[in-house]
Amino acid sequence: MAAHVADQRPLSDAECRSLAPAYANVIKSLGGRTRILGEKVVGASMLTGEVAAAPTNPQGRGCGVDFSGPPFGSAWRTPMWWIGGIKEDVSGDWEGQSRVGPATSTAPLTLAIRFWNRPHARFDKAPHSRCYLNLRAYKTTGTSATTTASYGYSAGGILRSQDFSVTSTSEATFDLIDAYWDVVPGRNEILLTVTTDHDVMITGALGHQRVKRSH
Amino acid sequence: MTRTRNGSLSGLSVFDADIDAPTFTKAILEIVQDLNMIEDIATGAHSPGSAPVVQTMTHDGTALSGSLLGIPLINCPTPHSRRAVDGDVTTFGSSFYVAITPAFIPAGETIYRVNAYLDQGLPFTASVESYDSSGTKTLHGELSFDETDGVYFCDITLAGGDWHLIGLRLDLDDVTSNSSSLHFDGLVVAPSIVPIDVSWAPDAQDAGVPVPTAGAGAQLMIETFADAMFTDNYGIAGWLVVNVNRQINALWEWLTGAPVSGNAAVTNADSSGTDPVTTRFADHARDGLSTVPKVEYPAFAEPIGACLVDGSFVVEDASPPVTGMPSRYAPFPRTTAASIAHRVPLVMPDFDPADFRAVVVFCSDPGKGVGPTLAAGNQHDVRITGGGGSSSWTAITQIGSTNFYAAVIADPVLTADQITTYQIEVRKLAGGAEHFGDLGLLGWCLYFDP
Repeated sequence: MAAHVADQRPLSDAECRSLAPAYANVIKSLGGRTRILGEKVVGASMLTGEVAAAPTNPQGRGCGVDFSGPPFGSAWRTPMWWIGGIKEDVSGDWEGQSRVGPATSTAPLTLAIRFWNRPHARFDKAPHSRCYLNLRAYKTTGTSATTTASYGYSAGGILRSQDFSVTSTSEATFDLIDAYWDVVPGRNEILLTVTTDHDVMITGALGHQRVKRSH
Repeated sequence: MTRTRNGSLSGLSVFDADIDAPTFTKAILEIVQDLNMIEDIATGAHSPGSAPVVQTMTHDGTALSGSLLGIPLINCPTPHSRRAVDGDVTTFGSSFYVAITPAFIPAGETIYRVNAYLDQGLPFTASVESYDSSGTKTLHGELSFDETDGVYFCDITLAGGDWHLIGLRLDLDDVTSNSSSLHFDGLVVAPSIVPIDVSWAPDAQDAGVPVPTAGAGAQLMIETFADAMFTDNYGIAGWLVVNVNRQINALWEWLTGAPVSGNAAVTNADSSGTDPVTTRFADHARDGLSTVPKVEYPAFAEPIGACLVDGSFVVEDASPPVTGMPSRYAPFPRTTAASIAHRVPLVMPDFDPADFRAVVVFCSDPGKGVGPTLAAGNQHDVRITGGGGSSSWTAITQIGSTNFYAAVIADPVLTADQITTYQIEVRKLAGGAEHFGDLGLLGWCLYFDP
């Protein structure tokens, strides 16, 4: 059984119009790219006795599109890590227990966050390469609280920060999209520090990836 | 016109593409029939004149069904002060699940790495145990400590296609002789794989490689190549080569989300910039621009409470502890009025809302005599509310013969691609005396199960 072509070079319009020369690489490109497309779809070689010609995906297992971002499919918007909690309850017995934690003017909230990020191809602004923060919070004392979320890493350094204003004693959601953590495939250890000039309570936190193709 | 496709990939022999080799229409026909087959598998659809596809890209580990997706189950950091265990735990025992939650295991993805973050204030042994949805218990063994990364870890194997209750068990040693505390700082359960470094960048050049653009609201542009185009008596028309080439390019961009090599940018732009609600690329969304097959997807799982290894309470009801566990591990108050038990902000992928599911798991204490016996007057139900509405109230039922109770909710309301706060509401049905402390909330999960 003869081996089969696995060419990835695309053809321009000029190469395949009616009066263009019938070079062998025209048919080679058509057949080769069709084979690789098939391998990207099904995740393995489709030809008996031949290994896959498509490149291995970022998971390191198989060559298929896994929807982790280009060139392995468009990505899905997904949560990266999460912490839930509540303010309300009917008796007060639970209140103050299920939450992320308080931040006060004298005691910032510091949270070490370890999570596992989906394997993805690395390129500038790739999906899954940035972790954005969404918080639920309310103020516990005083007037409007000017609060800052700082984005650091367990290895050290605060690289970015974003201010937001907590004005209500009712829970509100804060989608902080001006800052983010740079994160890598697999395990990550990042650090969140919340500082404030009045007391606030953080009741929920979400790290998430925002885009399907590119930031 | 008849559109045919190959049943398996034919491929193009190197001899068909050799220099000076004649190119027959048969070779082009085989390419087109391969392309038709690949297109049908990828899209779950088929162009006019062909039979429905017989194999779909379900990513479930079966042969030629697409790559496994590698989705993590649990990514829950825990505030250090939130889950402390004091040394004097003799009031409730020394063996308990410090974190336990239901999680949906997609078919095919069955081996997971458990990473547990625990400080070492008390001597303990950590292990993982799980229960399937019928209550059958599996012991997965002890965790090892990775001194380099400071994490306890082990690999576990779970059957796919259903939800399981995954528990991180701690057995404390010499609890009466130690006045220190133990802190649980987080749990991560993700596929046991080692990512490889794949670097990629869109091509800087723009060579004018043609990709046909799908119209607004259109799906992948599917060209119908009929068998009649490949008669032996005619030469290979330039039209045919041009359009086969464009069809390959269109499918390439649609599938990979990347521009065809040689092009600087993709031709099929998303519908709304960098944060599209819908996408013109393969994504299993069934959102009007895509018809790819559905997949099983574990979107979220969060351990909330704790319990003893037999499912009974670690903390007595109505008596927040002065030692041992935080009071949030106590059974929670409940009345006939709906109360919010937990909430979390999340973003969900744009999958079919009809496939969205939730499981909420509780524990109870048979020793109380008032546990959720499910007799009339002592029944509870649960619902999930989100930005888009509320699920049906769903009764909790006992998981096998365990002291765990689950509400499997079939219709939580999905708000796709937007950050939404989902919450658990619990109520006691009318007809019986109100109790305080029949149920402890352990954990919950959200997933897609087509």
